[in-house]
Amino acid sequence: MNQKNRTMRMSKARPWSWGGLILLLLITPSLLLASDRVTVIKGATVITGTGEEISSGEVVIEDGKISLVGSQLEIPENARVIEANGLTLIAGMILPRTSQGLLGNRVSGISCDQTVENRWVDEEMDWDSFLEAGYVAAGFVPAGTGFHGQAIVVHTAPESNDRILKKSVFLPVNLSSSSSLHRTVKQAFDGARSEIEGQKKAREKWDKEQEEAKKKAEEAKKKEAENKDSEKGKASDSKEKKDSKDEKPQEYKAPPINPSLKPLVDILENKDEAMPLVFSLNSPGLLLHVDAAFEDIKEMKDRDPQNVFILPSSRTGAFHEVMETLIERKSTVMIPPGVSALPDTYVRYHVPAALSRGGCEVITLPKSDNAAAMRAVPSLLSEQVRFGMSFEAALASVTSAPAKFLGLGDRMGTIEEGKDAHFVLFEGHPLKPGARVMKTIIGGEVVWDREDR
Amino acid sequence: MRSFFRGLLGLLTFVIFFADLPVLPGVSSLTEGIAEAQDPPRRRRGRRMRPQVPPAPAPEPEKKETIAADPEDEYVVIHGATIHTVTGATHRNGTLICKNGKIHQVSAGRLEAPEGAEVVDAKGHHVYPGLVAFRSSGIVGSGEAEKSQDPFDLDTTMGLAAGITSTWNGSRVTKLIHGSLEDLTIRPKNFSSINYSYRNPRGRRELKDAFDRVQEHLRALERHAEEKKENPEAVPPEDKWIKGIFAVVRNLLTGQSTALVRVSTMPDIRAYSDLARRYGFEIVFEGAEEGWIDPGVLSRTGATAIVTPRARRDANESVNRPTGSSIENAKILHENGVPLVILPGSTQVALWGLAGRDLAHLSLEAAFAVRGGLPEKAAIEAITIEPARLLGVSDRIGSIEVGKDADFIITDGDILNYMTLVRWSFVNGKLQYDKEEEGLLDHIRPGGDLDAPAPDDHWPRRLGDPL
Repeated sequence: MNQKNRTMRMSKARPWSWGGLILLLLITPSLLLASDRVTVIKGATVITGTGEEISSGEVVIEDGKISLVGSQLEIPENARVIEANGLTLIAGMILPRTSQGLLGNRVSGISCDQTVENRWVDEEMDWDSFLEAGYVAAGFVPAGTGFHGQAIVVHTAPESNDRILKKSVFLPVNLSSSSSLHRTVKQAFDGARSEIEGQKKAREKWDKEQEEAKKKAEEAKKKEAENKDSEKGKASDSKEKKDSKDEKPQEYKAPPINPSLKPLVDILENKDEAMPLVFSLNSPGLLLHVDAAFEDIKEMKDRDPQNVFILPSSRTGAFHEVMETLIERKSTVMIPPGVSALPDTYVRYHVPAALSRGGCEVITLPKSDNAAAMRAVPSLLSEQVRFGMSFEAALASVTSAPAKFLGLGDRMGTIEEGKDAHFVLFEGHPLKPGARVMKTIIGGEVVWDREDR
Repeated sequence: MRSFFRGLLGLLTFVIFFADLPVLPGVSSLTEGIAEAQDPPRRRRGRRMRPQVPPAPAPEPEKKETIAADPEDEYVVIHGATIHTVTGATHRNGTLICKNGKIHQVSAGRLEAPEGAEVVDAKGHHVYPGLVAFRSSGIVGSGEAEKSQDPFDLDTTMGLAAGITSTWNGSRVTKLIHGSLEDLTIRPKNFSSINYSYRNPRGRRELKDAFDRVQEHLRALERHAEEKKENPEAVPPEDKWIKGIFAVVRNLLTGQSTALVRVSTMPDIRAYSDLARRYGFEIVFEGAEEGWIDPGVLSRTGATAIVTPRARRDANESVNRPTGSSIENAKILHENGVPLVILPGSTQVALWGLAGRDLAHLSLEAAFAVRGGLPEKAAIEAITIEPARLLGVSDRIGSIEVGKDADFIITDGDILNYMTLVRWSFVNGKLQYDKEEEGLLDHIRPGGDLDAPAPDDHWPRRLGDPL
């Protein structure tokens, strides 16, 4: 039976296949035209970020996506080729938090709705400094203290039609003293709680009104029925009335939630779209205070502790005291590279390396939020490796780890088939001292080239 | 011949006594007994009755009984140390058992440790209750320490190294705990501050007026209470005006708070004491350098004195009466029954400037009072139970008594000796400071051995290899 079916399908398909062949012959010239859009990066040492290193490899890009990664691939004759002999190709770097080039005042207080969208003039942004450092995407947050807004992730290409990659990514919290941390967190979540209660009350009120309306309608119906008994002639009329009533059921309209508290309401209600909070730990003791502050919020008591932190670049405090806690939680830690000394000692201590070896997700930030610090990141990564971080973790800390944290892990961060074609071409090995970015590629297009400078 | 033997006997006695030789092997020397017999008698108490703390339970020697331990309970057992309970007896070679952060048992002799207990062999060491610094800045967080303390502050560790386990931060009595934000605050405590100084005659008059007015108001309230029994509709006296200084005065007059004033000269002490006696409120003098001149004034007032034995005040040569500070100040005040609290000149842990006169040397400040004649027992009380009483927390801390918090320190010698260092500090039954681990002072006589070399890597601080 099966066999028969198949042969039948075959015979049916035959005329089509002939047609297809003819069609193919007709289309060929246009296909060749289409292969104009195929870009190949040729001759580079490809560090894919998944553990592979292909020397003299090729990466084929179609429609802004990676379609093939390998070596000695057959390349269409008229493909656009980016010669990269002697260069090293890694996935485009991602800066998860920055406020460079933003206009306007610093944000303070509880302002979770603030974004950077009205804080920049696209044409005036210094995108080149990002590209020169190898960053193809950046998470922008308004500068400030307290709950100072939400992050959006953008492409750093100078001209981009779809600049914004993702909105509402995380909520940065920057409170330098423990007492203001306790006060602000309490105030923020008390506000969110009262918003929820306001919603509940409005809903209850509406339900009550509806019930009352229903009762009234039923009473009216009864009366009508009584009337009907007396006046049977108008039966059809009443039916029409009833229909018209059913046709316009009032829809519940929730009162508006204070937009600056909405993200916190989502967190309290444990919604899927709730953004993670990212705390700046300017001193190690703040970690305990963050935990204590969230212990006091009854809705959050049984949830996992806060897990994403930003550590400062000058770590003079006793940060070694909180390493164990961070490692135990497998926290995500954004941290500028650099070695520090244990307090009042000459004992050198490398916090990023210790965290990475302990199993934390380490994301490397520039030492300060400016162009020069961004340019220095690759050479500082090599220092991380020297102090005991694995090479893979160091590379991941600027590529796949930030991509994963920003929720773009399926699009960016590594060189794999199907991912967006964002790359950095380094002169020599990226972690060699003095490593320079030669080309930055976004969506298969070279958007920054050192040779043009 | 007889005189020769008599002379020989005399010489022998002289040699035995002054060379402090044991008469029989195994028997302690003669002078040791004499030294013990010279222990000062318990001092008289002040006029005011203080709550009498029940004495520690009588030691039950050779009690060979294992406590059936609940695995949930956390026990800490200190063996072999000399336990200074401060309010009760001193046990040589005693045992201290703590259970779940409280003192469970104190005893002379050896008790068996419960199963799973943390046992500290402290042979040759001394156990004291954790010292209480009446006032401090920087070693605990301000206000509610749970919300303001830096749990990894080095100053907290330095305070613990000095033997301090509790202090007053200006509004709350707070424990010194490293690396945790739990169980910090013992109790809130506030003192009232009043100004009745000679230099401010107008302020003096206004304060006195305030006392008169509030006293009249309180009497009116009493009358009203009487009146109300007969006439339920009686109108209570108006009290909307009781704000600011009037509220302070009312708190003083109703005994809700204690006045804390900083005074140095005898005329000031007299003035404040007169005021306190006249209106009947409690007062605490901080400083009181000239208190020795007329200590009866303080004792009649029932005042507590917070003294700094090393504080110096030059005598005023232009007056024909005693002035200035005295090394005997603490001794004289104590002999007159004035409760004493000892505090160093700086209430921080200082690493420069006043180093040696800061909170890291609280016990040395007490030793200086002993140098001026204060009995050792009183000096130790002045840095443990007396500040605890003054701060209203003597039911929790300040002495080693069953049921109190397990806040104690283990030292390698007499706390008043200048060589003595704290070996371990326990707060709430948990080890908070270990000299050998902390690396602040571990290079000084490691293991209590005078001749032992310092660890190679001790300077300036040893924390081991972190990576």
